[in-house]
Amino acid sequence: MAWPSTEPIVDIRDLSVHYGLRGGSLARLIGSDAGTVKAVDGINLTLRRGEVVGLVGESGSGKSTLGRALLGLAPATEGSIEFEGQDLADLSGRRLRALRRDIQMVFQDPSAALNPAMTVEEAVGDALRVHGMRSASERRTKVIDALERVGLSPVELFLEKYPRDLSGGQKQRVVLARAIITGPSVLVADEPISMLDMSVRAKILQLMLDLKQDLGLTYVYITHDLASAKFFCDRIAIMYLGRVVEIGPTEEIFANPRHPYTKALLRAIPDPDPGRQLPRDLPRGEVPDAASPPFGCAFHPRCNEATPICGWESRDLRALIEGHWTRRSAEEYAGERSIVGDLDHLDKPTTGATIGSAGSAETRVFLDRVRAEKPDEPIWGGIDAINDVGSGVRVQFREGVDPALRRAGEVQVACVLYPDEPTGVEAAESDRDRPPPPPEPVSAGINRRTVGLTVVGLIAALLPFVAFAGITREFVQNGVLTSYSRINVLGILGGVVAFGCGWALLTKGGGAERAPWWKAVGVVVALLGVLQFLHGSSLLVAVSPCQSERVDSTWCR
Amino acid sequence: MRKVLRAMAKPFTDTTGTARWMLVAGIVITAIFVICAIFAPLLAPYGFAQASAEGVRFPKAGPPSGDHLFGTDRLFFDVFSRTIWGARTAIQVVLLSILICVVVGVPLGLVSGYYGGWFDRILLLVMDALFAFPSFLLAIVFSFLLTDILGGSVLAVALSLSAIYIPQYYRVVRNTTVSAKEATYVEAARAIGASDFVIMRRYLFQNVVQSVPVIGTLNAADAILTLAGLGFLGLGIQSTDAAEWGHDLNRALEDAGSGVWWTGLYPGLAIVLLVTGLTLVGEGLNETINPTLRVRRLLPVHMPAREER
Repeated sequence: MAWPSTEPIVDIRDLSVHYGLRGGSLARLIGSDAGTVKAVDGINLTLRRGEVVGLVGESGSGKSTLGRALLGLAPATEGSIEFEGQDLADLSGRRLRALRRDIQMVFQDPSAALNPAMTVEEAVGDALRVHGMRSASERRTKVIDALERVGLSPVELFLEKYPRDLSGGQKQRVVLARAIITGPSVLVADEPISMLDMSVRAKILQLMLDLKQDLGLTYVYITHDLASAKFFCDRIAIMYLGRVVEIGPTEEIFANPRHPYTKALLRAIPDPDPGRQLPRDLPRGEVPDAASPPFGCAFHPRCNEATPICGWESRDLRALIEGHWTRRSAEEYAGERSIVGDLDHLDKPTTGATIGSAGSAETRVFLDRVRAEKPDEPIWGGIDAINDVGSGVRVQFREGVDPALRRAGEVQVACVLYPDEPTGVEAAESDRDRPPPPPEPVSAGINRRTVGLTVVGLIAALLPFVAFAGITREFVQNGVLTSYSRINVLGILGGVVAFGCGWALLTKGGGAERAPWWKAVGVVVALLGVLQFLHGSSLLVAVSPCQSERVDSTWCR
Repeated sequence: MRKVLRAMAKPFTDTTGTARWMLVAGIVITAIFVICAIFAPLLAPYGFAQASAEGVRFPKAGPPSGDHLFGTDRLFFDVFSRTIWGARTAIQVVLLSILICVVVGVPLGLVSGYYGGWFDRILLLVMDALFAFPSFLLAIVFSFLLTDILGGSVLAVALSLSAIYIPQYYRVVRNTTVSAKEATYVEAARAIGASDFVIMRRYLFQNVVQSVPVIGTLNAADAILTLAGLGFLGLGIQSTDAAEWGHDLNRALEDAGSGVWWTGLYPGLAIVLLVTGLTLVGEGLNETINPTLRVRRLLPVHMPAREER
């Protein structure tokens, strides 16, 4: 393995990729916001020419999004990606496409990554074609060369084949050939072996290493499989919920894991020795919802080494209480449940959680019982105060610390257990980089959108009626329309607009707190819209043929 | 070239049983009409608006005879000739309208499905509105509007037929595009630097037009009926412009009471046959292309005889 040079080829600075969540279809229509998912959240990473960097993490950790952002496939919300000094965000669409000659990608599922309607020759050659190589014979020479490089020989046997005629390993070789044919310097490999048979995996990895040697490639290797990363990577970045939690040389990460998440991932690697039963204290639960990540350190709810300052909050309290109830009998549960009341409101993340419905004293007793069962839970240390509020108590949590990446030995770790080594000021500042997300704004009653929707909806529903009342009257009185009108089109359009507005009011009216009267207004507007639509379309049916003298007027009566 | 031929023969070679025979029967029937349409001037003994030959006037509503195989109608026209010329009109109109449908509907569907957003939503609304209308009524309205502009020509009727079928092509192509554009190979195409146009043309197009031939043939059958219906109402092509079965049926209506059966029977029979033929082709194609209906033909495996040693 060639030792990587120190020359940076890709420089990622504070990169964030946020996705807006989509609500219902009409929420999208009127452009309302349903929150964002921070798929990648402030990542700094430098790729040096010739090295292999592994991005490791569970599903939803943002590793694939980071890889896609490197090619400009996922738009960066903030921050910059510099490739050989050019910022990807500054490039126009055309220039960005041209740049993809230099940064290529290999996909997880080779069967899906190839167009089923293209032969191998077309698929591989298309990478050249889109970059302006018009001559088919020139392309063919290059394609044959690339296919030989990835070990598909005799090449003639594969050129005319469709993806469905190939095995998974062969398809992945074709995908690799397509990636290297434009002569890239960086290759993003998104779990390139996870969909392949075990027997083929090592071969493909070896092929990738060979290609790296021959063509001087730099790899970004995305995987959830630490074992293959150990074999393949020079450096490893462990990702969790869109952030890098630990990054460093592969040997150091494996020999001396620091972040609790890294330790957990390493423990999760299957051990081939059946006699050795290591305690597998794996992380609890699932990866949290990326739309509203936990306060403080995002890993703290699952962490085995969590401390009182990790950012405890209402959702952790709910998980704790519900965990407590799983160990109670049905009667005990019923009793305790009646003291505590409903816990659903705790899902709205906040550092001040109010629980209890049967009285403050009872709730305190209940909390003490929960605490007595698991006194060592760090969440207890994270509670600042418990105050009596009405018929319950308000549990005030300590403001959590969101750790930034800090140097610890040879690696960098984002964990409060590894306080900053070099510069204290900087780290303290970066702690304040991301304050805990504020609780969702609760706007009561009316907002501007609601009023706007109502006005627009009513106008759209009523205006065609008013504007064409004369024509309608004429139609009713004489049975025949004498003047040609476009009432139908206006009526239909107005009806549709009004219905849209009404529906939006019905589903989204009145802001966050949806008052029932906005629903009523929505229903009225939507009904008016339907009426207007029917009115408009029925006139279209009745009127249009009457415009021509070919049909006798009995038709129109 | 061989690839194209093989692809074209695929519906036939891939099918078995009923689907295959439906396809064959449909193709044969349709082919007969297509031949009639192409060679109408040679096959038909007289012109479609010819009322006399060599100075001799044809009999009025004359029964089938040696000179006039299917008889003549009240306007002295030869029914046999008009039936054959009618095939030409029908095929012309249907081909033209399908061409317009494909040329307009498929790219619209591709672009709308690929880009999504406002354009997609508005187009979808318009198309759904057209789709929701009773199609025949829509055809009547359009032929009214268009005959004022273009006259009672083949083009006008073809356009009004297209207007009612475009939403189907649009819908099918748009929906398959919406699902196909999420496929990894589209992302892969983007990753190699393909532009949106290239992605739509080289990556999506071939994968989303698969069901267009089926809709095309099934619509063709429907279009024949709509065309005849328009002609029957006197809205389509006038009898002096071209021979049109529906229009002939309309005129034959008065004959039916007076025992003149031949003026109505033959055009009607032609309509029924052509519609049946096209429907059979469409259904046959559907069974081959639609994977949920397809029963693939199993080819027997012939093992070479074991060599005795």
